[in-house]
Amino acid sequence: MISFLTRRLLQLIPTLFGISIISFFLMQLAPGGPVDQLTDLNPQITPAAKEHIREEMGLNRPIFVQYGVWLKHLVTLDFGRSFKDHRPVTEKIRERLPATLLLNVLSIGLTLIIALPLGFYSGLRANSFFDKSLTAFVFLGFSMPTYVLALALMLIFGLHLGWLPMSGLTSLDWNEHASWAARSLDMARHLILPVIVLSVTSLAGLSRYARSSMLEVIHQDYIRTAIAKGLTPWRVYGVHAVRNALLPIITLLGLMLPDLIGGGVIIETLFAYPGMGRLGYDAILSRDYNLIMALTVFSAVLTVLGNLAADVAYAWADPRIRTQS
Amino acid sequence: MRHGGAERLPLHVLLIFFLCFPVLAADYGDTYVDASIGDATVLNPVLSGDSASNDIIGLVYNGLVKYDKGLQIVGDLAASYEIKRGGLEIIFHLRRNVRWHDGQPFTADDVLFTYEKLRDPKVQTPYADQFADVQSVTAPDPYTVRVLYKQPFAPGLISWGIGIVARHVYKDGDFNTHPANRRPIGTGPYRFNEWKTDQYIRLDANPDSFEGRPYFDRYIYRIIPDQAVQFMEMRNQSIDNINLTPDQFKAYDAIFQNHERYRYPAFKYVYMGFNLRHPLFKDVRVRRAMALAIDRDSIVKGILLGLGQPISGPFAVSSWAYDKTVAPLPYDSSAARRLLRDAGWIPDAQGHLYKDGKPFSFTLMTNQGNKVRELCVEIIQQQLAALGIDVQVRVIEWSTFLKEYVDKKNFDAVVLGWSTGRDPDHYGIWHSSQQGPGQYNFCSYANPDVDRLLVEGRRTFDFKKREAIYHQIHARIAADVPYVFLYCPDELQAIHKRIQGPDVAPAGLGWNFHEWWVPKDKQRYKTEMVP
Repeated sequence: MISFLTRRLLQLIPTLFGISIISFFLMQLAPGGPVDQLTDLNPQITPAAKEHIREEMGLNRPIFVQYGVWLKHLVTLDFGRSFKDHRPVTEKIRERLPATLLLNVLSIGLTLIIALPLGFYSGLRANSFFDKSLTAFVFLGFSMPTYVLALALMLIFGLHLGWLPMSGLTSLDWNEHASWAARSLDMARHLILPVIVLSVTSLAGLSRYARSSMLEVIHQDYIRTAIAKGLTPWRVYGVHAVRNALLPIITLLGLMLPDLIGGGVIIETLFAYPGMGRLGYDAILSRDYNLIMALTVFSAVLTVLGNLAADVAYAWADPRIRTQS
Repeated sequence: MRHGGAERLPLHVLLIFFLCFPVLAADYGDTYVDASIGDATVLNPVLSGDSASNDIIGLVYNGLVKYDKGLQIVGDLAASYEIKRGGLEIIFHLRRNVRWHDGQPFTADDVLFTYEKLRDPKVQTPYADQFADVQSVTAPDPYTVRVLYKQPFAPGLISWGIGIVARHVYKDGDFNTHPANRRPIGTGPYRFNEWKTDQYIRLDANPDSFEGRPYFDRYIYRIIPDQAVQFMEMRNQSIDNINLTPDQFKAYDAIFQNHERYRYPAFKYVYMGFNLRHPLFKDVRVRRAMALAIDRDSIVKGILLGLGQPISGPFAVSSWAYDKTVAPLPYDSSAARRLLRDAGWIPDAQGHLYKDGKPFSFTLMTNQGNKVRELCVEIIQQQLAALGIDVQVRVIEWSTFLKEYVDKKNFDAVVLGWSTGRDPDHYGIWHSSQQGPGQYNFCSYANPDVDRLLVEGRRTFDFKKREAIYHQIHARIAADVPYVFLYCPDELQAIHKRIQGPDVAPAGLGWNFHEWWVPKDKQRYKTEMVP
């Protein structure tokens, strides 16, 4: 097991190296550069001033030299500074992490809690009325544009009923809230709408996986054996079938690891939520190369680690795989 | 009886006046909640170039001078200024007893420091060139700053409106990455309190402000990136100020039951620019014909819902440089046809224009993501088609559009807009020397008279003379039709009704922001002023 892990971890290095090269050069293919946001068609700022800033930022050097410099700094885990506001990019990412994790953990958690039981149950009752209406519901959520759902919920619960705040993460007088509990309640109220929207739109995928996984399991011989032995339906389906049907879901969970820090640009923009999605989107629009690279490397690392974690967890959960290796 | 009643009226009025005036004294307190699409990037006046940063910098910092409501230059940190030797020397007499937000006194030394940073090649400032003609800046005493110019440079005066930063704050550490760029210490009416990236920036009233303590206790700049959400937050009364789109502005009155709508001409204009090196557009008659064939009124009515106005020349309508005696070209398609015939363009049986066997056909480009411009391009296409001109439309992503087409002069005609500064010195846009790649005279306009006037406008300080020069520039450029000047849109804003004091002037709406206030009984946010 240890040698397997070491081998897999070592394999990550060339993978990440390749990802960084490709993204670095791909990024430069997009027209424009970091200075443009500041200066494009702004008659108060002369092209000469723009050129000077480009030089000061080292953006006039050949791309491979820039890559070399970037890589050299990366070895010491220095991702450089943002071209936009001169702050270290790691600081900018760190500032976003808590809010992003909070939103994603809550919404992925909610999705799991709803999608898995629903999916399993409709697998057991395949083609029943329940199954079909659930299918219709999750696909409605899946195909509904995020902004339509979000704006509709804001209009109803925020504006007309006045029950929930519409955007932001905290109220304006957040700092004056005396207690920790009052602050948490305030934040929770702000999180309700974005969490619901994120969950409703992602129910479909997971519940369909759960359904098909369950469908496959209940036709296995051991389930028939269990029924023949006279076990209660709860023991048969609730314990034996569900445990086996969960196995493929573990892989999915591993693959969802990068989603924890990845953000939805649309949802964050609508809810004025200070997450990673907006950070990345703004970075791309303003060609903030260092920030784009840091985010790319970060999510690449999480993706490959997620894959690895999925493999390991799978081996741990399924004795058949463990004995093979 | 009626007559007698009317006679008594003045007494009532007098009485009401006497009763009201003491009551009208403004109340302190409440919070002003502003909304912005984007967050600020760097709160340092020397480095920042984006409008969100400048919104905050304008409240935290002061320059030596500023524009008043009528767009005249008046002192700010300088109590007064003198222009000597035709502009070769400017002397600023600084206010005494101005303190930085940390209590340190403000002196001429801070002005020298700001200037050093503006000219320091290591500092990533976009404004260095505005000070290129400065020979020296000295401080004969702590409250006087003397600026010597190599040659008179009239736009140089307002360039001293840039926020002055404190030497004692920035003396240690790297200027570009200094922590004070996120925790600014200025002299302005509001003190920085807190910045939660992409959420809000909070400022508190500066009780020691030399303009007097502002009435609001607190100013909050909320970042709400989606315009539809901003609109709902406005209806929910969670923001006090919002910039509106024309269709939002024209929404039902009931939606604005708590907000007052304001409109005033923006400091920008939209135009269709020709590539003057293109053989099609070398003939001024052809350009003039196209200007006559485009109905600006229908563009303003159709796209801006009437919230803007057609223009005749290269300045925003509220600029003093805009010559109101030059009328916009009328919409006159028969005159346009005559001009085109004179230039040799003859319609065939289907009405398509031909000259020497070649059809009149060109590509009109604009950038993606600006709905108004995209619609504008379509209307122009239709209107020119009526004349027999074939217009191909291309809408291209912003960066690609600029880098691959505009900068390389690889276009026939473009629809674009200029957001200009308040000073009319548009040397970079119109001077014939500014045609290089990436420079702003991408239409390749060259007129020796205009070149001369542009230089003269830079050298002249006398307001009347300067105004006359820019009016001439306006008339000449309008006659040359290098652009079809389309329209100047209105700035559309809604402000919460409880707020007293908003006043629309040539300088816009926020020029007297420090005088805005809310009566005690209408205040929405209860705050304790921290001394």
